[in-house]
Amino acid sequence: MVTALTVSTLLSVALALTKTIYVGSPRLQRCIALGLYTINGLPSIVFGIVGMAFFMGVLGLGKSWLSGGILLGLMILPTMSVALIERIESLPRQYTEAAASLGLNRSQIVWSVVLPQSASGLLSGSLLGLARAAGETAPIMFTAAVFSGATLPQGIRESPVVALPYHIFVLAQDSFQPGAEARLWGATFVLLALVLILSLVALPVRLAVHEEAKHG
Amino acid sequence: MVEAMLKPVSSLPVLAPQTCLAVEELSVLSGKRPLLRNIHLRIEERQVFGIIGPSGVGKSTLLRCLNRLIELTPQLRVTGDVLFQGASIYRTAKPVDQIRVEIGMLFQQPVVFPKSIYKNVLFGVRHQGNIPRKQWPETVERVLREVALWKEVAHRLHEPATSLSIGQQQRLCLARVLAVRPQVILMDEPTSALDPASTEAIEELIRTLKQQHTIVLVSHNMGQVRRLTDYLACICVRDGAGEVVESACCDAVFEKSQSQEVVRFLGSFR
Repeated sequence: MVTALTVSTLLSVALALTKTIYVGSPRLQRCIALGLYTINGLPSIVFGIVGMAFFMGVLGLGKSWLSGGILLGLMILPTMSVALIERIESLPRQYTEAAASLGLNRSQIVWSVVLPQSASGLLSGSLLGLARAAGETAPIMFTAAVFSGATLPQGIRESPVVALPYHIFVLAQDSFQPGAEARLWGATFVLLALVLILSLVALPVRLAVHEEAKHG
Repeated sequence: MVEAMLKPVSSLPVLAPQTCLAVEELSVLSGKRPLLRNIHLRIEERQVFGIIGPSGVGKSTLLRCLNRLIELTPQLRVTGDVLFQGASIYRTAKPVDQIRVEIGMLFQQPVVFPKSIYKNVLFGVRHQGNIPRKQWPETVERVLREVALWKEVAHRLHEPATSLSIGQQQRLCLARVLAVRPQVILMDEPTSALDPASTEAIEELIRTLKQQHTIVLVSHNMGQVRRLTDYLACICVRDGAGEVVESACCDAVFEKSQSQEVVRFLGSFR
């Protein structure tokens, strides 16, 4: 999760700033938006298979926390980027004008006005993205997760991890065994609670962003 | 005398040494549609230069051309030139940020950043790096005194700037502009959102600032324009674009204007 969040935060900040600040051409801006929505629409199994082919086949990492983290980071990229883009676009234009009129250049405006005031967008996007990543099984079942026997990662290559969604998936397949059903429902409850809490925490932040966008 | 003042600015002789800003054949286009056409102005140093005209003629657009803030609106294109102390601000190697430091701007609505009063005053200064950090507290005190806000906020400099009244916020914005030491201050209807008492305070400040700075003031308040400005340009729409229909000293425009558009616009204020 930490890897996914790190990867996604860096990429989404870069994409959001590129789209809203650095790219002037509306056509290029539309291309970035289209790319994000396309990634968002990709079935997670496609991520899993492409990730397996690339990380296991091309890079030879085997099952690794890094492969799974990067894949999950890419999966939640659209959620985080769109939240951040919405936030940046809702920033009152007067702030950037006032900063520019004081002699701040574009980078200084980004660092001292745009990013600090967009932190809530990044936060809400991160929480929603994490809530989505928490429930994903397909991208990690081929690249990162094992049912049992994982230890704390000692390196990158052949360093699998245990993941709750994959755990539920395997338990569901074995639920005819005595005791498996109770553990299955327990694990499912924990996952649902996790997603619910993340979504509930993100809700007020998102509502505040929309309210500000509406009223300026 | 008055007739000489009413002569079109373009026919005046070569730039006098005391000319601070000169606008030369400036036009602003949105696509192919002109918003402002062929503007000529000459603004002398330590003068309050007023720009008046009906709503929507492009007064604020013209003001934003004077420090290249117009470039933040990508769909607008500027032709012609603006000379600041004899040098073009559009055809220059000087960074645009430096030009905006020298030609500061105060907006219609006070724009305070969600930071403390102290940090708001230093917002421009800390990015310029031309005032040593040790001198920052002195700078804050100096500019807050200059805008007559020091007594009101000295004991709460680290409180959020948003806790100030709108009038105080506008003076804080002016202090923030002054902190970067501009030579020219562009003011875009700076008192339109303020109550009479705050308006009076800002007007008093303009009178004081005029001794050290050149001020370009856009205002719809004709009483204020009459009280404050030395020289005036009136912009009206002709053939779908804003043009300077008259540029002369304040009294000449108000009392002896020969332009029907100006007479119609000023109406009862004459």
